[in-house]
Amino acid sequence: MAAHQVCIPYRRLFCVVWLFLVFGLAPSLSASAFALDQGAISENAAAAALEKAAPENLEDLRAIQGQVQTIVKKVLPCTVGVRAGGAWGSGVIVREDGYVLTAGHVSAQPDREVTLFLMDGRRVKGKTLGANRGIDSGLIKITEEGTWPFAPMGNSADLRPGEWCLATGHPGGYKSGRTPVLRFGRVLSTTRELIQSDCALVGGDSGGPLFDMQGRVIGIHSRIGGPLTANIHVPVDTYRNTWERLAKAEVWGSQLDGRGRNGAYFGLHVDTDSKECRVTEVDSGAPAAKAGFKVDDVITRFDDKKIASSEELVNQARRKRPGDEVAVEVVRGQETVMLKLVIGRREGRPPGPPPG
Amino acid sequence: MRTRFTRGAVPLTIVWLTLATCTLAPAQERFNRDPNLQKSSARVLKAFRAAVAKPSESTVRVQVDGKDAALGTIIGPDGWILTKASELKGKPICRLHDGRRLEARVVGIHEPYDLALLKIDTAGLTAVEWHDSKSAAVGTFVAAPGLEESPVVVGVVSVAARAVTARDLPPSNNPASGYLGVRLAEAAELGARISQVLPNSPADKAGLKVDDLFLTLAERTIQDVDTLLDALGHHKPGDVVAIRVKRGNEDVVLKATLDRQPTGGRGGRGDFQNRMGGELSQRRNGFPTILQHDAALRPSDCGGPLVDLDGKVIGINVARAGRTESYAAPTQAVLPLLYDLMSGKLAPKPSTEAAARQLTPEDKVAGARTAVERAEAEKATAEKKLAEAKASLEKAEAEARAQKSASK
Repeated sequence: MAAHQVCIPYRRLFCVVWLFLVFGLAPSLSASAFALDQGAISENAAAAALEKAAPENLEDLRAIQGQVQTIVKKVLPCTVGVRAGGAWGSGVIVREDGYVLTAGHVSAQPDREVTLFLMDGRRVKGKTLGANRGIDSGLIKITEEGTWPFAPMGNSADLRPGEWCLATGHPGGYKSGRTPVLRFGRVLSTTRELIQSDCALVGGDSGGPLFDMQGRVIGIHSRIGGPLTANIHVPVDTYRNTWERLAKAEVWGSQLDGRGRNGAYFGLHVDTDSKECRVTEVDSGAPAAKAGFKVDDVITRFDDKKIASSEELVNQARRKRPGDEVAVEVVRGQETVMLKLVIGRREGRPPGPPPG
Repeated sequence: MRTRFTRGAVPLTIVWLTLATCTLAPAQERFNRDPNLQKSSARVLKAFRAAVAKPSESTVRVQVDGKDAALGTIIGPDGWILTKASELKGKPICRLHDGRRLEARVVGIHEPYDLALLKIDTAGLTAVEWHDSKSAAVGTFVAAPGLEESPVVVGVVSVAARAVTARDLPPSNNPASGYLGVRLAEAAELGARISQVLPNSPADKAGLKVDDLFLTLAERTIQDVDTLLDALGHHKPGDVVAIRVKRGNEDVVLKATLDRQPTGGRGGRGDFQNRMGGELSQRRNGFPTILQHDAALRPSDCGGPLVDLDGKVIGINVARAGRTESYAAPTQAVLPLLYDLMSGKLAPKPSTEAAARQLTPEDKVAGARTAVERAEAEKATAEKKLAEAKASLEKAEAEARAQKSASK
């Protein structure tokens, strides 16, 4: 379940409409197809070295390096370049029949023809399926016949800050003379909505995979901040939790994060994976906290408009400015509670350069 | 999305990562900035100390006007040092591992790799140990030794050594591809319908209009953005192409003279993102062969060796090229240049390199001697290879004969 903060109405930067398609089964979680080639001894050495807070000596580094090189051989062929319209992104094949995880802003609209570029130089046709624009998850299906190299999906809920991880993708867009580009780093923080790592990303990486040290996909590249340590990935769990919606080419959620035109701030996170508008987090000290919002409140009315989904809330929230007072109806357990929300103003730097 | 961290929370500007038409969506999030967790933490760097202990003795700090300009790599015991040429904007001084500071002369410049060979007047230095860069597969751990105990920066090989060609650009961003200057409607059911004609673009000059539906470009059928980009990829700037469009109920044929991709558009955005996270080298592309790694070098840390966990040199760092990439000239590309750099064949032109002096007679003797030694070593290797090849040929021939006689 992904949570999203309704802190700021966000101007729409993508002309996207999310639609969709159907598929029943969740992807296999088994990593057995991915068992490591290496002998038990080096595997144990790697496991021991990876358990440490930091490698202590050359032996630890050699053990980790061996593990990295083993994984790389398997994950590079699963990493694809994506050309969707005139834009370049990346993706990762997670099933033999050609399902490709990508970022929501790469797949953009459902049912769109895209071209996927494999490491061996093959170009194959694919079709965009669903996307959650809130958390930035998206799905593509290869439409050509065949079986495809794939990487298993791991679990993002279990990640610990400090864990080593690998990123692949096509920074700058797919380039035919270059294999997918490897980066190595550590998970720095996780929430249900995002993973932060110090695997440096740049334009063209969007949609590319982040792997754990078993070679399982744990995240999908989404966006960056200024420092080299500010690289944001979509947690893989949301793909599993919303697989049927993505596979059915459903598009939902809204681009909430970022800075609104007028800097309105709510400090409220809502569940963008579920149909109802359920509060998942309230920033302490934020306007929503002052108004008395609690986790698990279901928002049913905002400024006298009926709210049935997180997207409807966002659409209403977009219209508000700092200082506005809004009456909000929430259902808390068996009760219906009315809250008065005074919208705050976001602090911080102005946003980066305008979209091109 | 906002997430709070107990430590070092700072609001930051975020951008989305698709290249080209979509997206640059700034957002604000809070990040964990705990340095102990990061891959370049002091503890991780410390683990690399044994790997850089020897090569750091073969690394020098090159300063110009009292400022760090580059690192340098000692390649010969009598004072031969490789460094990054374009960072030398004055008279270089080398600070050695033992603390000595010595003036250096630029005795050779190899422009394609942006490498300069420096000569300092000393002897008995420790030269680096080279290692076959072909063995540096993707995922190999790498370190850039400095003059300190811990390396300057560490990372992994991101892409094995490769020749760089025009193919290295994505097809739609390739300046070698023709540029037309239209945008197509996003909705697939509209086909290749023009949604925007950029002013003064080749499309504009040719008379293409919004709502025109593409049929063909230079005889290639255009159905969507992909087929359009593919078709343009077959042409270069300056080419005249025939374009057939449907306008209303009419078929219209136009001629467009393709242009080159304008700068400041896609390239500009990529450049902006690439500059997020640190300064880049001024000269950062145009190298014939590169080994790409993810160690976040500063531009002034280029010119030094890139070593593996054995402390052997797999390349010389030549550029911090982007947010995700640093480039090393691979060992296999550097070794053949050393003859020409040492012999004076690539001596900087006096007019452009006022600070450079001619090689002294002693330097020339030393250079020539090293060149002879290297050539002899290569000759020995080649002779060994030849002997092995001959032996395997003889063996194969003998086997073939044996099989032939057995089958008779």
